[in-house]
Amino acid sequence: MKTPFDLLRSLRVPLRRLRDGARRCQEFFESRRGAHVVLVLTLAIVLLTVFVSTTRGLALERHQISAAVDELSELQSLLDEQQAQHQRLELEAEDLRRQRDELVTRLLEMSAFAGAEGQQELEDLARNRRLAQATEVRGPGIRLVMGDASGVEQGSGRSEDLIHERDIQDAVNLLKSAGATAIAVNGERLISSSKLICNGPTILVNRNLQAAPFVITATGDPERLLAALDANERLLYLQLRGKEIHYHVADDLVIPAFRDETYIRTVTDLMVERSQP
Amino acid sequence: MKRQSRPARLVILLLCIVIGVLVALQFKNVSEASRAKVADTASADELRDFVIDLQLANAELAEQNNRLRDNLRALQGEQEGDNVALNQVMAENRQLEIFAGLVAVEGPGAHITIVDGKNAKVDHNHLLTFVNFLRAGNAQGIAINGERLVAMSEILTTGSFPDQQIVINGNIVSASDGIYTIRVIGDPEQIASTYSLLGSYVSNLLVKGIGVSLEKVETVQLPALGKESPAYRFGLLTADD
Repeated sequence: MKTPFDLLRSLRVPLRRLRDGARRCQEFFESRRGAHVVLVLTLAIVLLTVFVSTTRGLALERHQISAAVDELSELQSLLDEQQAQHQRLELEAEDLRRQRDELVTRLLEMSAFAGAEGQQELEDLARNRRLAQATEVRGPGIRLVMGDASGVEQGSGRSEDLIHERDIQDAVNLLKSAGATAIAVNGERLISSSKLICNGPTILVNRNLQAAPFVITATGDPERLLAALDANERLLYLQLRGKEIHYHVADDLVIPAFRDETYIRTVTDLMVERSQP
Repeated sequence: MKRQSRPARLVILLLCIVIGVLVALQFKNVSEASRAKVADTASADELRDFVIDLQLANAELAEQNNRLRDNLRALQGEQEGDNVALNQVMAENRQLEIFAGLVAVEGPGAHITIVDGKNAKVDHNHLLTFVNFLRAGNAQGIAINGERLVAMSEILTTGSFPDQQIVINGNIVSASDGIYTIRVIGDPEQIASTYSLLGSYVSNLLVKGIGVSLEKVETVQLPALGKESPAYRFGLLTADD
């Protein structure tokens, strides 16, 4: 039968071993090589903790990103679809307008329908469409490119490195005063109610957002337009500030027509013709 | 120095390898995280706005095409004495004349009065800023001191201070009293709120001594573009398509 005393005695040997082991451990850790192991082990543990926590954070972020990417690709396909539809509608509009114009001309030229009055209205129509910027204009002119200072990344650009609405407005005004016959900014025809609004790195021209570089095309006497640009101090100043400013004469420019009839309707609805000026 | 025992060196070597691998992985994590920041949610918002705008434009375009089809059908059915073609052309002409500034018009809006100061004169930059802002506020028609602003109207300062003058549509608009009146047709409330957006710009001008004031007007009258103006003459020089 074992007494508690026997139990203690039987434990004596392992206890001694344990004590010896602990002493050896202590000696080991107090020795130089022990210190190395402790140091390296601590470093490993710290690194492991950091690694695990960032990996976990990243996994969460990756999940959010994939959700965002899904949304983006969905929006992109929606956009593609709408753009295709837009093109289709534009082509259709062009075709319908051509048919209508042909028919109107044919009917009015048959004097039985309208006579001299019809002729006069047809002539006025040609003039009015030109002065309303509603006809495409082809011919020689100038092509001016205005871009942000080189090295500017989207979103990180300092304001003084960017091309602003004021810069475009000034260049456009300059070209008008040099007798430009028609002007477009990034292919967007300027009309009587055209405005330029800065919107972060992009500029709203008419109803469409445009991004740098801005390409301003203007038909007119190339020599006169060129001379006006050469003499402009503001353009030179922008150039000196590192912005991308260059221009050259172009022989065969095509300035697109402004044909948004719905817009013309809404932007004149408050105005009525005065009987006598 | 006592040489380290074999197992201890092995342990250190293994730990060093583990640390190396961890450092490499951590570098990868950090670079991945910084790349992820680029995929901003702002671009999704922008894209969504873009899609909405395009949907709106397409709806308008579809409506416009329906109108064109109606016009075409009416023309195809034209009988002697109907004047369908004539009426259509007249309707388009009247609208284009108003839009292009070829006739005198009137409508609700406001007058903005800008007055030269003793030591500072109004120049074309001031007027261009006001005009651009007013157009952003959906101004439908604008005239400055009797000159209607159309698509190809220029605003120029000629001469130098203090004898500078402002030229619009090829005509000097500066008067001896130094007053410039911008007449604008548009929604008066919208014009007023657009004007208030220019608050800091206006107060800067006031500090310089240039006076600026806005007055809502029930019926603003705008003149037609002069037939002798460059904007008119050059506009007719264009080759048609």
